[in-house]
Amino acid sequence: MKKEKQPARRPSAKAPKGVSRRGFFQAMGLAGAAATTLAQGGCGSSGGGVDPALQQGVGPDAIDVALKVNGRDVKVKVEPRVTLLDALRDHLKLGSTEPVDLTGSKRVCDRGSCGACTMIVDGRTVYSCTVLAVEAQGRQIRTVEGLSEGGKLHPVQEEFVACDGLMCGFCTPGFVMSAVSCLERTPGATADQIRKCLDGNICRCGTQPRALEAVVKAGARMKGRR
Amino acid sequence: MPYKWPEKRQVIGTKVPRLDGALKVAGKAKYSYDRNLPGLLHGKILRSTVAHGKIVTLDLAPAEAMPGVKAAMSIKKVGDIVRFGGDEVAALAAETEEQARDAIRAIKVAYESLPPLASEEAGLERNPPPPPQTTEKGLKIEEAFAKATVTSEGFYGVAVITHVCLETHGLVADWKADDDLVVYCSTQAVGNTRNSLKNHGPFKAIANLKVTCETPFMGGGFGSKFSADLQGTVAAELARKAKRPVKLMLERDEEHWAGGNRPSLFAKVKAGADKDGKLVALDVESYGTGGNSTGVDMRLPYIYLPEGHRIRNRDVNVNAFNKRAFRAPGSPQACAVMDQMMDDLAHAGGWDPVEFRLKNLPGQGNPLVNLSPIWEKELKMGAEAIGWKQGYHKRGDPAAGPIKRGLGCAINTWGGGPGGAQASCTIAPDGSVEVRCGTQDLGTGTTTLVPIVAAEILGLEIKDIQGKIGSSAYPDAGGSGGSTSCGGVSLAVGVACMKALEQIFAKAAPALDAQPGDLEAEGGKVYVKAAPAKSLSWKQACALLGAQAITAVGDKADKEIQGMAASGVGGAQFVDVSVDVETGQVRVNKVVAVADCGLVMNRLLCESQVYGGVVQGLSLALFEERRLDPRSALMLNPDMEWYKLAGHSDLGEIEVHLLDYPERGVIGIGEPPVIPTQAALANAVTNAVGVRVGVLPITPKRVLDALAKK
Ligand code: FES
Ligand code: FES
Repeated sequence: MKKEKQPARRPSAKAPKGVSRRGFFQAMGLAGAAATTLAQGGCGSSGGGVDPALQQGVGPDAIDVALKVNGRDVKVKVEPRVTLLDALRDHLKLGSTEPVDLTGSKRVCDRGSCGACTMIVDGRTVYSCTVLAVEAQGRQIRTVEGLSEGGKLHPVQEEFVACDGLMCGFCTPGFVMSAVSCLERTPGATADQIRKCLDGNICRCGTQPRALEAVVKAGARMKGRR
Repeated sequence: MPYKWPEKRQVIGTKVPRLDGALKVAGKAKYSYDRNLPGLLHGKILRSTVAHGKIVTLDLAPAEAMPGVKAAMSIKKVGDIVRFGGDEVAALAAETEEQARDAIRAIKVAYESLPPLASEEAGLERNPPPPPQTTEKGLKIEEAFAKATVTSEGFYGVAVITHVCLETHGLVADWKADDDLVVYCSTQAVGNTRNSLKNHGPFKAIANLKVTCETPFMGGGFGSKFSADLQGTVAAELARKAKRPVKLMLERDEEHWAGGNRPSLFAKVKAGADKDGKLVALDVESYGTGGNSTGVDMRLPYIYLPEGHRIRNRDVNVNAFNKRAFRAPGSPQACAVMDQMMDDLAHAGGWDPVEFRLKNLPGQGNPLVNLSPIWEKELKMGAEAIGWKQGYHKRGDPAAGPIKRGLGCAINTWGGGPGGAQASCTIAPDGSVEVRCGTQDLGTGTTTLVPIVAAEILGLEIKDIQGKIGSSAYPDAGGSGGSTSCGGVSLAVGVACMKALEQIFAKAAPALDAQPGDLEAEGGKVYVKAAPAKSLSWKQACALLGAQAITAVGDKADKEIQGMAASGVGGAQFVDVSVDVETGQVRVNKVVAVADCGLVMNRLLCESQVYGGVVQGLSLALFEERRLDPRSALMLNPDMEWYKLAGHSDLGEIEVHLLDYPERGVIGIGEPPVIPTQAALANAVTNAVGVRVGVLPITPKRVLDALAKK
């Protein structure tokens, strides 16, 4: 018997098309790329599907960015190099029209390898540390805070608490977002499918066994409700 | 009368979901990293790009002229030596993090390189080499080996690993006045963090300085976060200069460089057993590194005590950041050496590894003798649960094909006695209860523990208690290290509540026409034990206090609490793996962990600690290693791609058994479950593939190398 395929720990499918840093450089064109300090990221060949506004070249100074977060319109003034994660965590409070303080998504690795910053953008999970704020304009952005608006926890969140799928809790918002997205996309997901969905989320405290149990239970509850 | 835990317990030992869980899952728990104060500046540190060198140029002026920069300071000066890649050189604070990063790059700095020590082996070859520290006990080593009929030799080791706390080290510093500093610090010790800022370093000279450390939530420490640390002091200094609050949280690479690491240990071991399968002799030549000035935490021989042993250890320096305590300091390394040795010796003698361990559990003369019955029980339970009888085979899975399966086990011990702690319990005339304790919650569940204890003692429900922890303004409790918090905090809170209850009883007794000693508090009532119908509701009883709330203080140092807590646990773990001998990949099928506990306070969270230990142990066993470039001594993997932590699919099934001994009182168990996983996994791999890999982490390359030598 040949052993089963090794786990895909960091699903490459995580970032949707056109929202990567690379995509951003393509979008910016030469002028933009040269003008920012992120040029060491390298420029790719030109690609399609580029936002015409971005083709003008933006930055390096702060620009107005309009975002739709948890169904609300917010404005934030950030340099084009600022990630969606940092824009929401650090800049929203200071420069936004409405003083919201969205620090639920965590910055842990800042380069797409831990999942602590997971958000749902246009229905797909993204590592928000690998998405630039300017590129997220016009998209539906959901953060962990959006799950319990009105004070009622989402079934996934309730089960995380009930099963103790968290310890220090620093990874937990990312886990919760991956789990919610997994169950929304695959209602009735099996434990194996859920495990694969959560493979891109890293936890140092070792909550994985109980986080999995929590999502399986939440999945069963959500399915029952349908 | 001495205080003791109630015989009949309503809350203690039940499964209580963590009380701060809802805030954490909702993303509303504010960690240090999340503190966005008005006017906040972002601090960054310039770190050396050489692992060993002298600073020859350092000019902050170009950085100070950069947009947004509000304060800058040097940490080292020209002529100073940097001792590891990432050593702190200078720092600044700017309006935005992006500006701070740019400005750091504008600092002019140059180094004159000095030759770095990049590995333990390079450190060993230094001239003169570090001298060995020798310990010898029992029979002379030659005499001990003369008694042996079976010997085995091996080389075992564990590489340096880093803590990888998901919330990095750091704090937000906010000066409320020239002599009033508040810090929000990611720390395992709010009291010591305050003290480190108040009593040491640049602020010591400020008259009547008040420092408060607020840490309601923190994202993991594992032994690496006991003070404000250099970056904390720097943040406070920058904040003082700029007259604005400063946030300085390390970035991921900095966390690997300077957030702490666990020392390595490598050991050439010769061991002997007599014909009855008794360990008689142990000779160890070991070395390891704790970084650029400190050594390894040598704990050999671990658990098993032969008739004679000799340990010759060399502490080696390398150009890397100093070690920090890591979950059960020294023990996982010692366990990895001893329990792999035990396995090889059992193999050499043809004995079953579980039987061989049972035969060599501590006996008279070994300070751990009292734990032997516990280990015996655990080894039997674990063997049963993993399917040892059916699944164990002699070394090397005879199955055809590249996938080999194997079983392994290891045992562990740790103290976990109660740490110093004080707590206060305030009961108001309206019946409300507030309990304060200057401890902190690392994810271990202290926030939940405090109301559990109070509710139990006062006969109330958890929701009736306001538990307050995570601030140095509360009664002092020690840092959360050594698995000492659960015991210390339980005692302090328990006694504070017992003392407060005595005062309530004193007021209620006349109303119930009884003596205070005749009363009991249970189910929200205060009643006469012998005549439960004679009762007052909790509120009625508290109303008798009149206008004044009462406050009582409990202290772990109180002499009257002996027996409420204890120290010393044993544990055993079994691992079932499959190894692909063509690729060297190890796959974990199952882990069984049997953890000895005293009085379990919160069963749900106690189990989580054991799960957490096993998960961390597997991650360490399979993936984690700090790699230094052999020429420059710069860390090659200061990230989370090449410094890998285990993900869900790497873990297999994990089964946790708690072995309760409530009569022993509370014993902390945060650390022990991480100890034996590495050794048990290593033994399982050897059982599967037929050769000893020896050095952890057991990467595919190490497996293939070991097979190639077969
Ligand atoms: S912080 Fe975005 S994946 Fe780690
Ligand atoms: S709960 Fe601490 S990192 Fe996951």
